[in-house]
Amino acid sequence: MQNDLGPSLIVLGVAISVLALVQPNLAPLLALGLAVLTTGLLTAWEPAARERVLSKLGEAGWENASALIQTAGVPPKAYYFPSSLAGRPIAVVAAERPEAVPRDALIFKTKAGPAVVLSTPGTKALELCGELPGDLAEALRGCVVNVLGLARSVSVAERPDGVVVEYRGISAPDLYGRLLVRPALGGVVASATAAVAAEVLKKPVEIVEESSHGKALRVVLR
Amino acid sequence: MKTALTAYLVLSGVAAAFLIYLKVHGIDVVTSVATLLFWVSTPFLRPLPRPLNIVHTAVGVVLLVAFAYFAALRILAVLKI
Repeated sequence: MQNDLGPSLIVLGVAISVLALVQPNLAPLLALGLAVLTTGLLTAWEPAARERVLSKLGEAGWENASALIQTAGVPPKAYYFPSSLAGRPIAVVAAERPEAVPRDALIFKTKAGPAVVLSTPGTKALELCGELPGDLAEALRGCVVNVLGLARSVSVAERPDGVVVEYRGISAPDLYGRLLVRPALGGVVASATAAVAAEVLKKPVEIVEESSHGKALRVVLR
Repeated sequence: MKTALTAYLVLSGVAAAFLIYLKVHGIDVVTSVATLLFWVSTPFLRPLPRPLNIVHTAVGVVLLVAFAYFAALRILAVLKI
């Protein structure tokens, strides 16, 4: 609704201004028309402009995370762990799925080498979503669609190769650009999906595939 | 920002209604009032992020130019040049 308010005010402002210019005895309406037009312009662009600034400022954290992954020498592949196994919902970037995650560890060793523990957009999404229902589709609808408003609809299909989650009407910010955390953690929606799935299924989850076509997004989890 | 925008809209509406009540139909007076209200509300709307403050300033400059034009016409009329 917020997205429609700005353009609506712009149209209304133009209409009032034109009316004021065409009808000589209503000329004072021009002051109101210009005010409505200006308000419309600010309302239409302000949220996007602020979001862009905040996203850019937050990019510093993701640059540091990318540098950490690079320094640790681990391949950019994350395993999402639920809070029941790791104490809090986290992702572990490691060469292979670790058996367990030491509590409060930032970096730990596995058989295949070092593993880096990261908070993800999914971690923060779970903080916003609170209690989740037991069904994965319901949980994703409640969290990603209703609470976060990152997509218009979601469908879940369980297949032998994993869980396929398909979103329609995606509207999510790009938090990391082309940084190394992008292939490691997945996009914002994919990360939230993996974190919710790990929490609901109560087991570690990895993003096998993430592909988008316009406003549709397909995430395969295993 | 929401409060400042609402106040700006309300003041503009009140000003327009008052000018209609006074039967003031000169576009020069209306533009001057609109310019005054715009720049009075500006400090309460700022700060604005980069592309937005350019748009906002551009609208303000256009209003100021219009105000300066009408003011110049009035001054020239008074000086009878």
